[in-house]
Amino acid sequence: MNIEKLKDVAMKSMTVWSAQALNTNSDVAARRGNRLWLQFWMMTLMAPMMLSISTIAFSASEHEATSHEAAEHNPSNQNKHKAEGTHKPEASEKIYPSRAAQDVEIPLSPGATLHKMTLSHHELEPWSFVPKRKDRIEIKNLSNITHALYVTYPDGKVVNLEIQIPGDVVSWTVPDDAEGEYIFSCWIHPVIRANMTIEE
Amino acid sequence: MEKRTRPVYVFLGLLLTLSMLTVTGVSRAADTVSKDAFRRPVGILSPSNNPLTMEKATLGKTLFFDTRLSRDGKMSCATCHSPDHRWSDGRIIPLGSENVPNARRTPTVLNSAWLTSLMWDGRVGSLEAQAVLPITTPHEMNFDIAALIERLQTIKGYRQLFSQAFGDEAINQKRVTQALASFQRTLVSNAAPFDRWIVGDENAINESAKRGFALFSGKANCVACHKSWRFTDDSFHDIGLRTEDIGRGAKVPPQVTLMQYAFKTPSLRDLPINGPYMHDGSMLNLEEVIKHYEKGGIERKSRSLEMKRFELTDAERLSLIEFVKTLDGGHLKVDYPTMPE
Repeated sequence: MNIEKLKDVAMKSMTVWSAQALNTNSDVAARRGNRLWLQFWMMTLMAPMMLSISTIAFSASEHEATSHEAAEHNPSNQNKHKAEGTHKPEASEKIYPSRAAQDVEIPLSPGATLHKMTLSHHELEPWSFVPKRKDRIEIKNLSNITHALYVTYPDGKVVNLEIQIPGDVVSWTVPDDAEGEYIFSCWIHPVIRANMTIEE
Repeated sequence: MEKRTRPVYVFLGLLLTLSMLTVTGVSRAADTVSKDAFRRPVGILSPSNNPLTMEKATLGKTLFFDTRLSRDGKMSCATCHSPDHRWSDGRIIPLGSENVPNARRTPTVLNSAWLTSLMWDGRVGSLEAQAVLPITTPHEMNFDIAALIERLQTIKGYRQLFSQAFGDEAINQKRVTQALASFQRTLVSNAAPFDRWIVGDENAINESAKRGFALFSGKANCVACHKSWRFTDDSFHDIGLRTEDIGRGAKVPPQVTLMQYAFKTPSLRDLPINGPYMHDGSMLNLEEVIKHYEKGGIERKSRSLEMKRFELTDAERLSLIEFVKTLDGGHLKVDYPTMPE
């Protein structure tokens, strides 16, 4: 439940209670008062329950706690904050603005397919697509930590996919003459490794 | 009126009870989740291409303590990775590296079975690969593998140990490194007071240490990098130290800015309480270390995004230190091997 809406409901009851307490008809006022007291106590008792449930949803673990910060890097949030004049860019945004924020778009080659992969905390999630030459692969960082992926080609050549802050997307285009095993790794987290086989 | 209001009071009472239970449940849930992240594993990891066996570990222990693995016969792996110094050497920089530029402090080999990258700059991906380096480094053991193998083959006791470990007497680089790696994998921290607290013994650590843990996981945010039961994320961070050594930056392209001046997060288990700390041994006590983090380190493009300033009172700093002390499981008991002849 949205915490702001919950607060709205609670405050509305208090306002109604305050206004109706001024009613001068004592019998009516007494009955209304009893009802209002009942409403008040119900809201008072339910509020902690609802707030507690919201707290669970927003986490106890450090991963979820900092993923709230990761939302700050979402371009839509940035634009909203900028419009409100309240946005203070984090250090990471100054140095590594996301590609979406830079409005970088590169068209796909004719006949090529766009595939999507995701990067979690310490691994690239398994994928089900079969990549072909010229296809583009986009990798989204769903973790709350920064990564720096690179691809090692069968001949040892290394292509950097650049620093990837949480929420950011990097992409790699399968070479025209690709064949063999291409290894995705992370400079920052050597444990991340995934092999992708490209066949003719 | 009474008959109409009684059910209302019962209902209110139920709501009150439910609220209290919910709030209590949340606080317990939060507590359990945080502690669970630090639970010790049950077994020891080993790779499929070098499964851990008692015989390989025994051979590896013998090699580890044998000074004949060095050219002049005076230095063994245990010279720098000494059981008496928590499997490091207690020195700011290692023996023999006085004239080596940017020499780095000897890391411990405790809990190395779980490492996915080794050495301060992560240049090596396995214990097997790492084992060769000190043997062949000029200012360390200063030997070459071919000569070492030739030397070992002349020692009957080693031929027997290799046979027990690998099925025949053949001695080669692969087997030497596999045996050394196997022994190192058996070096696992003892259960510390913190571990007993994690599994429910509330008397295992004092209240100051518990407050320290709360700071560690909260305001000080040490847990951002010092996570898991080994208190390391096995990642690399520039923590803003004043140093000429660019660490992992020398092993990755320069455009990977975050890796410049970045070093591997060390474990906080079994720390020598009087240091030295950091890759260069530049800090000699935990208070100095904590104050460095409070200040946030040198501001530069490569500085870790986790390095954020915070403030601690003197009492809070002491609690944090108290907590770190609870991660000490004490010295490992070692039966020193008899050198084969």
